[in-house]
Amino acid sequence: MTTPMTPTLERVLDRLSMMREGKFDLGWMYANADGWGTRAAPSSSGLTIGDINVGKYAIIPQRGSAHGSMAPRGSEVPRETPALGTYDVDDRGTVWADNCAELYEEAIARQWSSARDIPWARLEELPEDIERSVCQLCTQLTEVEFVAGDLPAKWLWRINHDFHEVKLFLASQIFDEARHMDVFRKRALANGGGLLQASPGSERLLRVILEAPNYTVASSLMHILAEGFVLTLFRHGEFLAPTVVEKTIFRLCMQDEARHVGYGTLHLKRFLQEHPDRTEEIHHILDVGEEAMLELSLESTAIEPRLILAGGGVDRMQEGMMKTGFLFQKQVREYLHRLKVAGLDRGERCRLPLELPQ
Amino acid sequence: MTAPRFPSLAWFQRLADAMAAQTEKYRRLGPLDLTLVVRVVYADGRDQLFALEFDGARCVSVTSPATVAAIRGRHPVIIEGEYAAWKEMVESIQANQGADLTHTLNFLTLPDWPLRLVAVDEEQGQLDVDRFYRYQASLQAFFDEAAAVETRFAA
Repeated sequence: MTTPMTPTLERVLDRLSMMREGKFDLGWMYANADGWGTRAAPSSSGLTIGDINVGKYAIIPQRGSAHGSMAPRGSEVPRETPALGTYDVDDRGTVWADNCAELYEEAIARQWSSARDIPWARLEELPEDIERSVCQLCTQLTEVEFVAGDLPAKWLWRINHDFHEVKLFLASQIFDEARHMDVFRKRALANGGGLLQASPGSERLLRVILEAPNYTVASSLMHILAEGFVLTLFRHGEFLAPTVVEKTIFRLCMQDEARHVGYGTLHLKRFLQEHPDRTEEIHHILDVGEEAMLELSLESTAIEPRLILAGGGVDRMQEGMMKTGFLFQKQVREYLHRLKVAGLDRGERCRLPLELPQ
Repeated sequence: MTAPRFPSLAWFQRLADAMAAQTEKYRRLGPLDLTLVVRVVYADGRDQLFALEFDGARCVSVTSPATVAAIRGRHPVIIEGEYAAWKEMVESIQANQGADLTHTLNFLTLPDWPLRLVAVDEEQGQLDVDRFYRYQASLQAFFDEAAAVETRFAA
């Protein structure tokens, strides 16, 4: 079979001939002269992505590169480099957070395996109402967790490559959420129970998150409101855990979720610093999200399993109510504190009551 | 060697030494960047502060600041509670070779009782407290080192 001669093949063969004759280009060796001679030094955690942000490589542009390619920030980009046509989220204020490099490294260092790192052999047979409650909790968490994978994935491919730290962090978050979805599914299916009922209230909140009109609004809703609430639920899961298996699952998930919340808080802070005129956009989406969250918090599939676990049985749910009264207040208080750190005062406008009537 | 008394600089230093002796275990758990300040409140109202400065996979400094204003170190967060609660936690760790289900750091702090988390830096506030959640497995492993520390209690 003869390969058809095309202009591209012709160019490649010409180039090969020149190389055979000893005619090399070597222009790349002296490209990017002001970026040469860099010696980034490791910090106490090793050589991190933050440690290599030195000299010209540390400049995070207000507007991502106009060439619209995947060319690395700080490299020399040839004039003929083609734009890839997707990287239109290119405003620093809409994606950046000062802690994203740190959080990415932390995420990589704190990866865990749901197959290896959970002591599955220590599962114990539980009373049926307790097992059913654990399984319902796991059903709901399996259902909601991957929205924090799907949502970043929806925007990730559009974020300009000059903000690679953000992209790396979001990639780590997608993997965290994959693990959360898998570990809760595994727990539901590992101890004689199974998945129980999906949640319409969860789906309503998930829709608000997925349909958010832009990345920043979506992130505020997901990273700060939703994941902030879930972080407290993970802490509560650890608190209620009937065995060391659930204890370990929730402890490890808690760590991951706290990183996501940390990114969201400093991302919103940066956004409000660079775009104070867009504060109302954030308020508006949180108005919608808080109401959806409030409804979801009191949906029977969400609250009743926790009351059973807190009380110690289906016949002691009212006792469980007394023992979990603090939880909602804590969720709202921490949520408002994070918004305050970000520079958003939501005190008067918050749709979530600071306390639920006893 | 005389058993250190809880709480004391020597006692917390023993935990820090145990951490330093297991670099691979703590590297695998992940790096920390936090100053956790243990505040022990006694029945007569006196209190003592012990600042544990974590950097990377090590507890690089154990000090006893005289006041909250004297706390140094990055991202300080206070974990405070009465002496009896701390004592019970340490005894549980020693009896079970690690905290049991109702004596983990998270269990004891979630309802803000018997232990409570307080951010030192007003501006960072919740962000610093969130670090306590981010490093939970490492911090629990650190306190679980108490299982191997022969301990004298003040009362």
